[in-house]
Amino acid sequence: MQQTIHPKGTDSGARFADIFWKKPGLLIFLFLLPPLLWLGVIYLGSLFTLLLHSFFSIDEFSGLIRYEFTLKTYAELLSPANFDVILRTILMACAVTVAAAVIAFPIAYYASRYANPKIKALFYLGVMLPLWSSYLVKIYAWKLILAKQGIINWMVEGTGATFLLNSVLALPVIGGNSLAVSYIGTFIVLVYVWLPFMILPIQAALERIPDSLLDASGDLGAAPQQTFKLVVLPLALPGVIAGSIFTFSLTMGDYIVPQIIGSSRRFIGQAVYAHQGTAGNIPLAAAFAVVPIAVMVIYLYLAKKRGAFDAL
Amino acid sequence: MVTAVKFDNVSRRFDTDVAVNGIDLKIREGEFFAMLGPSGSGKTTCLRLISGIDRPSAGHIEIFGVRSENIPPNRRPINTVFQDYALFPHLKVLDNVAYGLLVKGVAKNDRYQAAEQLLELVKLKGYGNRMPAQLSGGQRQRVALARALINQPRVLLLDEPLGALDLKLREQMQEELKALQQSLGITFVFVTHDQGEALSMSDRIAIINEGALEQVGTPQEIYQTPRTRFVAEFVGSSNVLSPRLSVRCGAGSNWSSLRPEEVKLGVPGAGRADGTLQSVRYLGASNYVTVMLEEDQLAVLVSTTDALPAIGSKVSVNWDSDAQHIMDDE
Amino acid sequence: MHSSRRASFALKLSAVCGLAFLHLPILLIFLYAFTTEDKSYQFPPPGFTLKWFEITWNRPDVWAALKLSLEVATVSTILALILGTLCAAAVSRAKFFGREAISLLVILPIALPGIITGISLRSAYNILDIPFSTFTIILGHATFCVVVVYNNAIARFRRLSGSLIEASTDLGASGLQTFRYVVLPNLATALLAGGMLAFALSFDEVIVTTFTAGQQQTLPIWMLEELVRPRQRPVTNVVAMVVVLVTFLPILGAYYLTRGSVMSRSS
Repeated sequence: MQQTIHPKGTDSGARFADIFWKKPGLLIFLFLLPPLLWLGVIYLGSLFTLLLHSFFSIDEFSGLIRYEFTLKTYAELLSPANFDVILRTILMACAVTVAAAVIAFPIAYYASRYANPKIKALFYLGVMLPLWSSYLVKIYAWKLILAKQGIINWMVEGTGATFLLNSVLALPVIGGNSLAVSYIGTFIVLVYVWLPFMILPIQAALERIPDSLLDASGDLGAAPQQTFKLVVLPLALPGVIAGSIFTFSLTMGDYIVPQIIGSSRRFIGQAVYAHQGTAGNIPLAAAFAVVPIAVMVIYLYLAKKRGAFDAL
Repeated sequence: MVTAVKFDNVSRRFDTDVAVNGIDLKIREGEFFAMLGPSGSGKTTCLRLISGIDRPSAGHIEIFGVRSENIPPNRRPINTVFQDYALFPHLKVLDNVAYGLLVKGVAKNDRYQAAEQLLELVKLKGYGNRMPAQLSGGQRQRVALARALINQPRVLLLDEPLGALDLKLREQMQEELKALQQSLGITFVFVTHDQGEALSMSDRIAIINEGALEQVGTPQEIYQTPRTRFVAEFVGSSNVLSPRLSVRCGAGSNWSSLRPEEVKLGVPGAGRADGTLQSVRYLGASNYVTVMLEEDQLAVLVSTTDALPAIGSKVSVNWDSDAQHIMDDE
Repeated sequence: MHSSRRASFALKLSAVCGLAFLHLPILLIFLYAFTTEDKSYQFPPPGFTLKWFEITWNRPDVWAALKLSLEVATVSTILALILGTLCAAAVSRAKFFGREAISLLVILPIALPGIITGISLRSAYNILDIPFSTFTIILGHATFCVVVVYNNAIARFRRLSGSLIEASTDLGASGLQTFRYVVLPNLATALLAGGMLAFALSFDEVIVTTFTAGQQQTLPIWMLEELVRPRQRPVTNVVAMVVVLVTFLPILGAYYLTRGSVMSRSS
């Protein structure tokens, strides 16, 4: 019983399939249509209305949005009070990024270059679990830690280091009445929350350095520290930049951490939330939201030039 | 004689690349047909066009006399043994082999019975419950072969099926494939870049270079009367005589080929031209000798029973005009 | 190969301390769920009790928030599975113009801070006069969940060599049969893993939700209220612990399902 040839499909389903065989592009187009419609219309459409809103303004008397093109809202953004918010946020994002890189590097370095497969799996899970576990719970945990009767004060009193904590809290600007209401507290929690996003790309970049490269460097007479400085660091840099995209972007947009742990001075995220909320000033909120987008576009452009996207 | 596959001025272009360029070709039913060419020559594309996985940009392919442009691969009486075997990693060997019957809706018992028979045919009886990952390269190759035969195709396409095997296994499989083809009596179309494999296994060979057909013929024709310089050089072992060398040797003014065993060595001045003996390679029954004729090199096969001049000494070369084969090149 | 070199003590110490820094705060949550103290966050806890579990169990507002969260996460995950898989299938199948742009578009909702996605949707709802509902929450969640499914699916599609699909067609399978017998079995674990992660992501999301939820409370919104204005600390402690456990399970599951690919990448 040998096969015979049926020039025509035997049923309508087969004929339907024949169309895709003749025009493979059609199938791909049909595959792409739903996700592109969703992301293109809902997401990009929303981003566009956000941008649009930032060019509207709020009527000072009625408190309603005036749907007319104006740059007034952006001018308002540059007022000293609002500009302070932007500057404060960007500085915090820089500080958090640097701290996260410093803490993340040894973890990523150890896991990628020294750990055996079992330990490596453990490290991987050890980073993935905190990365994925509840954002709010993580903040809540720090509220417990930094509270007046919490574990930090208990430890400080137990070791008699009260004077040390007090002198740190007495520092201008970053200090405060307690850790929970100071910039230091905000900083610690932001580093904690976004740290895993720094570890993973660095580890990925380090994994890609072949052992032979390090052996070659040693063979050519470099001391281990020289190899680290001349070979490992430059090759890990794209990973660090990739990680910094996350930590920087996420810190800039965060409004919950500074609201719950920190001083009363606002960050961009809080400004966005407050203006769209009770104040109903969506135009100003939108203008504030455009700032992180603009900063990230510049940041991504620079990162792309350093080849950081390959490490994502 | 029935034509199994006919190429009628077939081309396949990818954007700016031309993978197949105006090929005319007839493959007869029941023959062992090899497509031979260097990698990237377009031979695998030819195979994909026959199976229907790919479609020609221009020209037609006829399968048993039927124009194929509207027949998708799943309705062609043709099956393929893929280069990387393409065994389904999630299915055990028996289910891999039975796959063609599964999609036809054949009942489980019947398809397993047929699959067991084919596993026996490819000498893998008892391996049905293993997963592909648990097999060696040679065993995977046999599973891929059995899987492609389950639908009783009229044409079997084999894409470099022996490329990944080591030498000994490859030679064994060459014999088995040839025997299998003869016992099944179906058409085998076999893609390879190994000229030895093509010469030893096939009834006919198509030599393909840069998407175009260079020559079609029996292994003897290809070997003895290469039509182009490319064929002579790719099939190997023949001397390719340039017009310059031919003129100096008083042997015409065309490109031609000359097999090394046809060339005789002599004392200086006694042949068509004089040269210097450059190197000797011992091959057992004969010595493979190269002679420099000014800037041209000529290979000569000398029986080991004959005396051999020392390396660097002057010799003459001679051959019968009949031994020289004129080629098409300008 | 790695074992031939020894890590210095300082490196080992800072790596282990770094991991401890990531985990100890979460462990603390478990401790506090059992404390007898209900007015402050006293450490060490003066005593341990199980009574807060019972009290939490009988709280209708917690159950309502949990129910909404599960609803939103389920629907968003299903939508993300469909959209993410389609997108991955298309992008992995062929090289076409704009492929990079599509990848970027999928990643954007999670690459930009959540607050941008949130305020964008909020301003779109405002302009189109769409009232807040469960539907508006889902719209936001599905958008940022697509990327998780997409990432998992595309990695698997890349491992699924193109010749498998060709082999299936060659053996006589129709497109649907190829999908059912070859593509789906090879894709299933990746989709399951992607779906689990999408579920965990949606179940936990708070930033976008605050902009799209109106008066409704998902579990994270309920927790946020408690964080800003603590009223029932012990109940919050218990809820926090349950949330940690509920999100850990899908993450561990996803890890075991995709373990092979993770290992092969890092070996």
